Amino acid sequence: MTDVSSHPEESEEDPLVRVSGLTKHFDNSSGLLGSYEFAPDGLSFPFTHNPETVRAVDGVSFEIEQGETLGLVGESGCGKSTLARVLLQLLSPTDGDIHFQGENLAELSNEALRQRREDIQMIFQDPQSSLDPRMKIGAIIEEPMEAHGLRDATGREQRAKELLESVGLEPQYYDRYPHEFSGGQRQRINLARALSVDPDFVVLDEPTSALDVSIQAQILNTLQDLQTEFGLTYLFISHDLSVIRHISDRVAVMYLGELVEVGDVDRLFEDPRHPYTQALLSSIPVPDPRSRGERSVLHGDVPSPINPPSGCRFRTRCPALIAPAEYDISGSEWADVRELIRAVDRRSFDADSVSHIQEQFLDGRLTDTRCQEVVTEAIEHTVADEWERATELLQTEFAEKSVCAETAPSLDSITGEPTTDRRVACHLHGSEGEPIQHE
Amino acid sequence: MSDTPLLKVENLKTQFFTEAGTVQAVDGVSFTVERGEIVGLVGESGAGKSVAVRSILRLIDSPGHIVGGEITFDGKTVVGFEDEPGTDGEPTRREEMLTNTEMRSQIRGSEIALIFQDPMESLNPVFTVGGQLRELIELNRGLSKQAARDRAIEILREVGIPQPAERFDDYPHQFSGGMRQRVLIAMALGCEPKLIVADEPTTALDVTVEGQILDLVYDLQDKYDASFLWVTHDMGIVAEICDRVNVMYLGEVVERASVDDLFYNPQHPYTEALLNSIPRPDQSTEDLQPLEGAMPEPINPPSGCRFHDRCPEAREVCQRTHPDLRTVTEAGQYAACLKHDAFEAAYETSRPLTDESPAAGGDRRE
Repeated sequence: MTDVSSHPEESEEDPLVRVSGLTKHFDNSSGLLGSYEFAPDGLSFPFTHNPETVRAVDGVSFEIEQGETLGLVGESGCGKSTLARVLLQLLSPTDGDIHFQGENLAELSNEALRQRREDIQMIFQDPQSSLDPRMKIGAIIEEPMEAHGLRDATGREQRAKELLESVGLEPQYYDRYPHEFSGGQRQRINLARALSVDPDFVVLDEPTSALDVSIQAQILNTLQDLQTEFGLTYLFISHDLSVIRHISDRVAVMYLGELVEVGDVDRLFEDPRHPYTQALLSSIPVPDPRSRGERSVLHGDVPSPINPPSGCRFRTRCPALIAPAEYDISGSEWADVRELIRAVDRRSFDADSVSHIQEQFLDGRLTDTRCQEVVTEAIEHTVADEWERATELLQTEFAEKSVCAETAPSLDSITGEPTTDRRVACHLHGSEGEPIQHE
Repeated sequence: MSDTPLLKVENLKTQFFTEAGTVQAVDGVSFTVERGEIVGLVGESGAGKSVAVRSILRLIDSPGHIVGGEITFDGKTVVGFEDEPGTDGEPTRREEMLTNTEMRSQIRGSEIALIFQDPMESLNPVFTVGGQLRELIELNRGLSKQAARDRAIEILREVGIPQPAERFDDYPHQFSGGMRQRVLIAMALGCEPKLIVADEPTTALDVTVEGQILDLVYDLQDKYDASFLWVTHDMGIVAEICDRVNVMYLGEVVERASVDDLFYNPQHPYTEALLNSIPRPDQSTEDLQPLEGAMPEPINPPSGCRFHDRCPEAREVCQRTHPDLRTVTEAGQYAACLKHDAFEAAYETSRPLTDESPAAGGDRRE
């Protein structure tokens, strides 16, 4: 608490939380010599040092204003939970700053950080494993107050009982054990514990994912009531887009360790700009049988964060990948070529004859002669059962010549958007690429 | 043959005999699956969905027992008991009920396939994916080893596994969650069964992968003309793929309707409450109206209508009278709720329960 002067006055304008360039890499090898590879070729020294890093969170920046709920959404493995843990300093960041009320958490000493935790609390996904089965509810809720030296014993008990009521439980549950409660009730106990130290900021990591829908609705309503009552700021992490839409004021979409789009919840859901956000939103089954079949599907799996794609990390699955500038290729031709690249990569067709495959994937010959040469050559490789050569050729001649592969888009404001807090990391909307219409 | 349903479950009762008492996990459930149809079985956890589908395959382990009811599948009696219990008071199996060996050789895998929620637990980690699939096809379809292998690769390609020939010899841990679920679907399809029972197959998957799997199911249903019994708690999936839906609450089916009627004209208060408690991805929802409380334990279900202690429309009569599933609309929608005229339960004149409930006291709140 060295820099006391910085926060109370400025908190009116400054965001409560400002994260800049936050990065967390994990070393994937284990043991002292784990990162050494042994490859005797008889010519050189047979050991090479080759550490594998998992780039779980890579250069993430965002802000959370006082009193708002920021929803963080993404598929599993995209780094949401790691981000939450780094934010709370449960894991130390590889790089980047976390300013909380004007103070950089990443630079605090252990004791100063421990004291700061009074203001930042976390709710975990599994309500079962986050409560000590041998402690009574009262003791569980009082523990954070004790750790921070708040109130005396009677004061704490009184506070615990008040909190039990606030989260929708009965004060007489004070003397019971966690196993006597259902999942939803346990999550309420977790909430009471988090609120016991009067935090300003609560990070909720998939708090309702383990609960049934009717219980989930109860907890979501309670969270909103508590936010109003205690003036809380939430970072709400979930993979469930419906929940995110319901609870958030602003939403950040994460893909493979990076933020791809940030914006106001309604604008983002009504008019998603990043192809990933678009794909994510259109892939959810809507609980309405009359809007059947309006779903579209995003193909492929999330690539490994150990070796993420160059440039835009989403480009390997992106339905709006930008065509290489050096080719004169129309939108529909480019779509056909991408379909061919995908099919070759997955080896999902029988390679019988060159003309047959050409017909199957392309609508006539391509206008750009160089493109057609590459395609023909690749198809010839597949017919010769040399799939890997075909894949490699198509990758180097097409996919990797796209601007999406060459430069990583930065998270920038969209030109023409009225608000500045709408940001998208995509060449379609940035300055480098020409904005094109996708089919 | 073709006018009888493919699967007919009538008054199925499955109970678990535990030290704490008898758990009536499934209590008098009836439903049918027609040929080529996707039927949904919906409900919250603990409603008895999984026990019901496992009963169909007779996969209930002790202390659980199927104690009553009748299940017929494609003319075969999977479960059937004599009307009179035997001398020891235990239900007596009818003669035409399949033996355990017959279940194994004639039904499971070859006629009815089951896809579980957790693909990692259904695949053996010490055998290759292709090996497991090949073995299954070899045993159930009587093909030679090489023919079974070719067929396995073909199916893997069909369910969208990239580079199927190369991945044939990979182990389950080398596949992602979505890919493993595809392998399970491949296994289910391997023997071209008539009915595929899917128990929350996409719950553990991401939305984008879930979308891929749902599309795959559509394509495969077209191609193989299989019927599906789809167990889920996700109303989005129900709306997306099901033709007809059964809603379960505490071991009973409380509503049965076509998917459109279910969403636009729900006849049971529980269905309505379930629909009101879900946030929507396609529109902003101002207020969620959650159900009060949590589902009671099936060990000692509430008297009368099992939903009465959480029901916003409950009346005094609901505490006493247990409603069965009856037709309540002209469109042939079924519901088990006394508020409908079909029950003649004097619901209109009965006293509402909602405003006063001193007996339940503070514990009413979840």
